[in-house]
Amino acid sequence: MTAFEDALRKAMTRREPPAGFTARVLAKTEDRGEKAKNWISRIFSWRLAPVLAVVLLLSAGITYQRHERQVRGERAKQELLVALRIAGSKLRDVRIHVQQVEQ
Amino acid sequence: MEMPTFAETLEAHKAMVFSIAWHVLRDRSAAEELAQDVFLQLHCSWRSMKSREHIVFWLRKVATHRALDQVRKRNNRPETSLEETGEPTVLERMQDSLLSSYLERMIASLPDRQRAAIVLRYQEDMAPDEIARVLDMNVSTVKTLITRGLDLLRSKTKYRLGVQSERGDRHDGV
Repeated sequence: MTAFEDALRKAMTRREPPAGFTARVLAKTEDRGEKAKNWISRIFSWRLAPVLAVVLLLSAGITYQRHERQVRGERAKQELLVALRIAGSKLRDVRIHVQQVEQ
Repeated sequence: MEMPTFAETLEAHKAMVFSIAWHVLRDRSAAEELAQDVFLQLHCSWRSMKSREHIVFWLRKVATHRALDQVRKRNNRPETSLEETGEPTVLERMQDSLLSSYLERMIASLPDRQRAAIVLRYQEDMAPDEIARVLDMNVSTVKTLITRGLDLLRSKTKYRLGVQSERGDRHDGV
């Protein structure tokens, strides 16, 4: 190490932060912790109850609508199957009749 | 080794973090604010800390990068450039404290990255490869930054403060 580097090292010795630094940082960390806790408790506070009720009603409504659509779809499917079955039996009757006429 | 508590870490490393911020920013209140922010960030990331060494590395890295960001954001190039820095009135060998204060002013006038590299090298006594990891740079880039920084500092102090110029052996410490 050179004398110049030695002088640099001396010039750059660590300095203590201003008095009360540790206390201020610890207070801020506690403050942040409190704020986080408050935020969570605010979420569950009664003030948010109407909002939660509306959200609950909306989601229930959406679920009911989905269920209704599904039921209607099922019914339509069943009706289509019956219609196809009837059409199939009619076609079979026609084919038998045509065969009889040809003979 | 057992992990320290956050309060122990704060007590043990506050001078390191504050000094990095101070030497890069040269503003006491800004350095304190930055050091506080670094420790608050550490508090948030506390669970991800793996060891004492990891904590020190993390603190050095975050403090340096934040200080550099702040300098860039404020465009806080020092008011006095290297060329503008006045010569001390007493040209003969100065007292250590005076020399230190002069050198600090000179360091503050270095370009940002050179300053950060010099701070980590001479304040924290870190090797170039460690500095490279902290600054996310190549080792060769760090060595160049330190050498150029030293050259700039030497060019200004040479003959003026009675500090012997050691151009010949300047690579010893880098």
